[in-house]
Amino acid sequence: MIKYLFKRDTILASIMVFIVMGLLALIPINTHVLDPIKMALQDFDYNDLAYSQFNKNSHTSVDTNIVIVNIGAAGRNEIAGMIKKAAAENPRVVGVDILFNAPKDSATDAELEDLFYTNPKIVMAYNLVADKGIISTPGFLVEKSRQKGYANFVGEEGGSIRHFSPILKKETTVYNSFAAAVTQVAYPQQFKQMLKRDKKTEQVNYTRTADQFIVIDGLNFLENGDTGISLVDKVVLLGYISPDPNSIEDKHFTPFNKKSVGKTVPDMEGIFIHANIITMIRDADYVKKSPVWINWLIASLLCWFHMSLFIRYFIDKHLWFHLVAKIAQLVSAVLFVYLGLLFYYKWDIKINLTPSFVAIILAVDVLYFYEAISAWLHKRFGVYSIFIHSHH
Amino acid sequence: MKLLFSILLLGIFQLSFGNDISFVVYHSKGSVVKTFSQVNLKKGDPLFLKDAISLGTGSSLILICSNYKIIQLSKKGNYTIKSLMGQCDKNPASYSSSYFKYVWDELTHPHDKPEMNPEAYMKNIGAVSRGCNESAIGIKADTINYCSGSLPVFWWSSYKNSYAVVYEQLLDGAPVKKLLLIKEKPVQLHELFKALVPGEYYWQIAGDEGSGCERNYLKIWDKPSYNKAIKLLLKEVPVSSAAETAYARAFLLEENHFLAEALQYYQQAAQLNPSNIIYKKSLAKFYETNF
Repeated sequence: MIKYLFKRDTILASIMVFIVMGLLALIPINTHVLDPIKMALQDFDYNDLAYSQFNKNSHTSVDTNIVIVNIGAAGRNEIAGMIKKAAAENPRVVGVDILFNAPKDSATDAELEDLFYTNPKIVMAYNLVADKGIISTPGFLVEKSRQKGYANFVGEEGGSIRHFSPILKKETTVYNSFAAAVTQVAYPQQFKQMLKRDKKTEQVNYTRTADQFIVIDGLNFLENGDTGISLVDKVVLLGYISPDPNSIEDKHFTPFNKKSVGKTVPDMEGIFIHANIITMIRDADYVKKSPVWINWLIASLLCWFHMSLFIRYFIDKHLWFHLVAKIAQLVSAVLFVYLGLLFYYKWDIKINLTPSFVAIILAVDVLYFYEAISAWLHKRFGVYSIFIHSHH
Repeated sequence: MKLLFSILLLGIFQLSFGNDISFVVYHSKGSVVKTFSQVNLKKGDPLFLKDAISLGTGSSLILICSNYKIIQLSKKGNYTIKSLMGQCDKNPASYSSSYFKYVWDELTHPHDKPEMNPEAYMKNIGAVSRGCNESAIGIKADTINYCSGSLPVFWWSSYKNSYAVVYEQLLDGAPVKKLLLIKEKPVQLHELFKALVPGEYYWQIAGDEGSGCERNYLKIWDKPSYNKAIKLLLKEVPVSSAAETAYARAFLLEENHFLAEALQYYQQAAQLNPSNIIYKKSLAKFYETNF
């Protein structure tokens, strides 16, 4: 392998791999149209395995700063009562993760309107609809509420929720996400810190499953008051948690889902995803992404080493070339996934190894192409090449 | 042997076409007969491609296609089932054209990533809904008592094409009236309810494929009963200043779901005392567009 590492042809063939990758990226069509594996894995991220298979963050302690009030089957009247009661206990903020789509009962609607309008500690969730660049915010209480945030996550429709958009700027209007709006009220410093990052999207750092949050029953809280849990100085979130594990109401796919690929049922309620995002912003515990130049540097180095190995077998032991190439690709894939997951599991660092994978996979085919070009250049211009002078 | 085989093939061909039900009768009113047999059509009767039907004056017929689309006929005349088939699917597509359309759509859909263009990937909403999340109307109109009068209602929907639809049943059933809605224009409920005979109905905003939301209750009254009910209600309102009386009447009528009348009295109250914010706000509810 070392024998060919610093040969001009090894370096040029490696460069050619990246040229081919660039050319493929220029094709404005999705070539995976008839590839069932690619289509099945469209919404797959290797890092999900860190949660679903290797129980990342399973030892994180219960978050005692967030209390989730399960509204269950409560109607608007009871929900208004819960908000009022929670707000009276002097929490940092009360986040209401419920969409009130249309007016229903004038007395209760007026009460809700009054709560959202007068109390700056109550944050209302709403649905943000983005259609061809035009943003609308349906819901009859949205305009009237003082603190509000969109409850939308970022991801394929019905796909796994890995990202959220902290804020959305449209001309002069700034829309806060629900988690950002809650944090703005509860932890203004951390909110500013998040704004400074100036990221269009943030990856959700799932530090806790549903069991690692405190949940109280809303109707019990409303009727009996004393749930044994103080809400003073807490982030109180009102949302829906179904008692039926098979219910899909406000449930989403997350990396915690034990089945990463294929047909399965959603695993986490929206309120817990918001809670994870709030925790992440509060603790400034963001997922760190490796810079693009590092990803490409890793890809270049790995491609170069592999190319050197492939050329060695291509020229010196051609009989074994394909077998060695396939084994090398397989071993590399296993090793890279392991290393990528390790960084994510231990240090929340996400390294994009896709360029490395693609480069190594393309290297074998490009090698044949490069050999043909070398032969032509040699014949035409007499250019020296190891492929011409070492006969395999 | 060849002849036998041909006859057999022809038989299978006939049988397969002969048994291909094109429509099922969902509702039939008046004189609706099969042209050849002169048999009156009734609910549940199958209709085949070879059939023809005849509708008499004032008759109507609702048919269900094999792809569950609904066809309504109310014009007098003769119809062949073959000619009605085209209405079953507005986008007929062969297997080949569907396949290549799929390939084309897949090939040409943008190379976007949620991280790069979050706006396009914000369809997952992490919140539970109270009320319908497919469509909404500006006023609370779970129940409407109606006889006559103008009643514009502002609406919002997530459907590509929206309709205001009236049904006879709370669940399922074919629409008895359907009005295509124009975006950002209020639905004129008086247009929708026009010509409905007194009785109980249900209505809602729906898309091309219907709606998953609960239907609103609608009671169409006959004029004398309606006037009597309103008179009875308004009798309870104490008379004070003209504007106050109008407002009290409007409030009471709204609470009792006589919305068209309530709107008239709210307008009257706001006209009589334009400086009163409560009157203005109450009237503005009917013209609310942000919901």
